[in-house]
Amino acid sequence: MSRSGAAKTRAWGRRDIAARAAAAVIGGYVVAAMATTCLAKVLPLARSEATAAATLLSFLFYTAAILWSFAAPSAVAAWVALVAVAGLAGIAGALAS
Amino acid sequence: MKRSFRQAMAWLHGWAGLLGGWALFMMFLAGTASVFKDEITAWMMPELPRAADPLVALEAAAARLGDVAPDAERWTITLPSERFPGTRIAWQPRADVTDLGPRTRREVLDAESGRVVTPRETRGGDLFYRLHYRFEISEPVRRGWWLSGAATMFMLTALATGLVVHRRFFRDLFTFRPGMGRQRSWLDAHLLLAVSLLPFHLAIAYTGLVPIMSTVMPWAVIANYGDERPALVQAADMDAARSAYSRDREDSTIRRHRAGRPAPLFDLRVLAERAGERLGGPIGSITIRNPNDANAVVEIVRKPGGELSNRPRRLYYDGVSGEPLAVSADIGPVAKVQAAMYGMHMARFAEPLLRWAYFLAGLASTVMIGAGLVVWTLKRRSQTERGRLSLVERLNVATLAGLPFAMAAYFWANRLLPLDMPERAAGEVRVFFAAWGAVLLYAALRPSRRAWIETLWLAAAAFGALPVLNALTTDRHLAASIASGDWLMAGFDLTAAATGAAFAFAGWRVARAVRGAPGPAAVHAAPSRERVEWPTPPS
Repeated sequence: MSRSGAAKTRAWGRRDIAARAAAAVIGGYVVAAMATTCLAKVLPLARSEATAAATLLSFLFYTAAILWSFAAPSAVAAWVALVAVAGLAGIAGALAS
Repeated sequence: MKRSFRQAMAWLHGWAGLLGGWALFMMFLAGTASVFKDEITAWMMPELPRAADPLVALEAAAARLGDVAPDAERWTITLPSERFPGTRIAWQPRADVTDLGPRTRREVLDAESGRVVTPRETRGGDLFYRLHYRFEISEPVRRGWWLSGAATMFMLTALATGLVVHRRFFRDLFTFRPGMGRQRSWLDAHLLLAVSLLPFHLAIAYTGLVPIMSTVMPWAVIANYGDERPALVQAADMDAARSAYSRDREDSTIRRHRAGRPAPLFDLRVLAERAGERLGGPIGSITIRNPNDANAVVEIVRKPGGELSNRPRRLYYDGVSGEPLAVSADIGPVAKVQAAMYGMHMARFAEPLLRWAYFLAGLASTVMIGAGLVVWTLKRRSQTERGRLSLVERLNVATLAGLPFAMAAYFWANRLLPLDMPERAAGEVRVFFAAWGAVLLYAALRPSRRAWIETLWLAAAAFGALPVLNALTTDRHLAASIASGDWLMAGFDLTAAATGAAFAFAGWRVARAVRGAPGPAAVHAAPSRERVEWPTPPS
């Protein structure tokens, strides 16, 4: 209910919200997909076990990425970090195969 | 530009909760009803006889299948239980002997005589089940899975942000203050239910992703079992990768090709008795592959119960000699965890007491989501956003009160639609959606406070009168059910009556609150121990 909370909220303009929401929904999914792919290849388990473990964990990554998209200091920072994590996971997965 | 982490999470909690809330309310309510899916179906088929000895039922079912489908690809016999009194049989005709393709045929049998019973055409509890996990979308089925997966991500987001916002939740747990102003008591109800059952909410949401995960998150399967095509292309058509994956994990299913030489089937009752001893529990279902063929295989599955896994233990026998067939080693630890998560979500194992606990916990989740949606509107009532607020309030009425009313209407349709009506089962479903749509329309036209009260009373009447309707339209009324110890029928009638009473109480409370409603100013002046700063929505 605080007035200051309301005042600060207005600092999140429509564009900012749209950019963060896109980061959360799309960027978060890509991060989860990349991390899952990477884990599926690098986990030291039988192939079917690694596949199941990576998929089971994927939704944790997705949730974390969604929270980050709105916790990041700015929408740009949100996107930069998500792209970096997805890229690193992608490279690691590609190297592992 | 910056705001604190908690403020950001509070903002996200409000919006993720609002935008996902209506779909989640439906998923949780329908999912809660699905806990009693078989029982609901049994109530909606009052023509079903009472349960009988499963072994007698098995013999009768095998005789019926031998008559009607002697050379089928596969028979499945689901034995009667305290959850569903009839024997359910299904068979898959051989693809090469019918023009209709390998479509599965189903029948319900009187457990004792094996006579085919033709109960009234109904989808029964299956409607709620389909609503729960795929929004009643049947074509293409995967679209429904994507929708429920997306809604689940809203749930996980709302739960995680809610945890951040209300991290001092043990204090919140003891701050239920009914009558302290409407916003406070709705918020307190929301918090109390959220905090006290937090492990349930988290576990039921996360495990709900397990059954659909290789559809909504197929990338690990593609990475390990895919081919050379780009991953995105494979995702659109990944049947090959999916079946390579399931072949790799399939540990214990024994499949044999049809030999083409007829051979008599071993006595199923004897096999069931042997298997029951080795499995240490009652038998739930039996599948016979290649019946009446030299390569027949009998798969006997333990009744779910006593173990969490969604894949109850099973034994295989040679269908001609009756000799047990060896099953290869255990599945891996991750596959076991996955099976346990799947099983935990589906609750097929739950014996009556635990089943009721699931039902009540599911109701608590549902009410938590509903209370959260109401809090959203009450927090903003004083603010100058009448247009959006009014839309949210109307959708709240249509979902929170309208959906339960539509469920009751579905039960009414089951008892009142003519038995010989063509496409009767679809007719019942149409009544369900029509009732829901009618409440939505009503809520759009009526002042929202009136719509709230009236729809709640409507739901109360529709549920409360169900036992009466049942007594008037069947001979299996509540008194008769109780007298004969038929707790399947009696349980439904009593639950419907209790649901009606709960809605009557809700209607009465809302009516009282509206009569004595403090104006927006009074709500604000009320002493607030709110520690969280709830930002306004963006304008």
